[in-house]
Amino acid sequence: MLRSKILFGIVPMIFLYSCATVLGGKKNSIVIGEYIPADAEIYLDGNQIGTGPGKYKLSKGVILPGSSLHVKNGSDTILNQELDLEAHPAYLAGDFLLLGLGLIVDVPTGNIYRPKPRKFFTRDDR
Amino acid sequence: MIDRVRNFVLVVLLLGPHLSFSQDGADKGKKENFGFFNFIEAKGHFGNFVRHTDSLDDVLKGNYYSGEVRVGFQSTGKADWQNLYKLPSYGFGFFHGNVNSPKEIGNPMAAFFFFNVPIVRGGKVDLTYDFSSGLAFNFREYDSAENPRNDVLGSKLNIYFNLGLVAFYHLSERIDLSLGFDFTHYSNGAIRTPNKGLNMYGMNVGVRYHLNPVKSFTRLSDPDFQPEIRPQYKIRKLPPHQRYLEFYSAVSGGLKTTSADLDDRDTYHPIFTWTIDGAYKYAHKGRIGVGFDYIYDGSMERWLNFIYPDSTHDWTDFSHVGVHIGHDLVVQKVSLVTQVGVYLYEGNEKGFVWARVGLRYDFSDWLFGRLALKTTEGFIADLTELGVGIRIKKNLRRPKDLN
Repeated sequence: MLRSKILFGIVPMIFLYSCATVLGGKKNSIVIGEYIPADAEIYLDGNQIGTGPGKYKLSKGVILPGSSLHVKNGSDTILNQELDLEAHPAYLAGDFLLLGLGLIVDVPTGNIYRPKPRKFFTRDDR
Repeated sequence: MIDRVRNFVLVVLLLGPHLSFSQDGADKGKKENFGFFNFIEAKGHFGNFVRHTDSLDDVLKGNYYSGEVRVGFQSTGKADWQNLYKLPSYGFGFFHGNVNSPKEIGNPMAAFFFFNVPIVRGGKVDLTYDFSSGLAFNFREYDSAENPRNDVLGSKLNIYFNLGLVAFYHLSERIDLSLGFDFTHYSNGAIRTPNKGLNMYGMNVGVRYHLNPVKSFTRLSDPDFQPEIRPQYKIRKLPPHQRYLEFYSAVSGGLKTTSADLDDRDTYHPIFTWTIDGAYKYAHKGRIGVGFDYIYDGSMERWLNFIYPDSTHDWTDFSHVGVHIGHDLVVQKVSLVTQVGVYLYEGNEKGFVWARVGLRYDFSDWLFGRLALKTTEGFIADLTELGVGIRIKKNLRRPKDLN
């Protein structure tokens, strides 16, 4: 009886609400830390996405494998970084702990993949 | 002329941002192995039991059959280790088995990690070896009152281990069919007796469906883009290996029970091991070494009191000292540790030869963790060790430096 409840109740919930899809959502974020000028311009694949430090939330599909992130201060380029998308270890671990079923959603939808690197000009980069 | 220039400027200004994305869209079509090469796989297993104990004849009357679902990642050679292992695939899976003994053994389930390495990659057929390991549950454990006939597994939770040879036939761009032979083992590493283990061998058939989810990313910027479903399998030649000597030491602990604890399901005895090793990293893939072991087996106290109730014992009776030789198969930060050793001092007789099989994970250049199974009297599970260690490295001259 208990096992039936698990199979017909909890497992479909896990299946439908997988780790990365729920926790990560359909947006990816790039974090630009405080160690750049406030008026530095942030470009992704040639398109300006903002100015100065901040957390930039971008729709899924804007950051692709091989996308380039440029940060300019006036005419000077202070960062030129190629981005990649990689399976996020925390979401992988979460899905595995939920018996691996979450992966059936997170992998085909690509939601398991998150930008790497994702944080720039943070305290660690000083 | 001025109108033409003005129109051109207007077009550039209006389409500028879109042109940027379009340019990227054009690039990705030319880029080799663009995206993520994933697959979903369903497998069915069927076969027979290795009947290493007479009691199994009564409990396991038929064959076993089981099914599993896997979600996997096909490597493309970005990381060095992927090239060393001929671009393996790996991932996670869920397994549900039927061993035809629901009252005594239960219906095993397992969540596991798998690693599939090509031996030969042909045009339409690939021959691979496949390794899976994980946590298995949903067993009915031994109980002297309620389940005395199960004398092979003493715990509800066990380790799942599967090793096999698998051939894949590429039926279409997206679909592979597979046929394989495999060996499956369940046991708990002597944490809870009885632990004779359950061993099975058989065939498996499966279907693997390939997909590249990058499409869900490019839908916005380039709806017409059709990504490759399978990667180009190009193995990159790696630079010469930096050989080095490594000295490391690890301490581990764990819990154990003995046959004297069959009626006491709550008591566990502590174990402790200390190892010192010297190893030579001879290639990207491997390390060989020798080492020294101190083993404290707290369950010996219970066991000796059980068989010699009138005598007294101290820690020297529970201690063992040994030496071993070993080999580590290295996959980036993970190593598959295999060792064979002998005892130099036995507090109480455990058999002369022992072995160790385990995994080591390097957290950093100096710190590692490990999980291992040590055997005794040859290859009978003795204890399970979970521990940490430190290491120091001394680089040797590169091959080209020798000239």
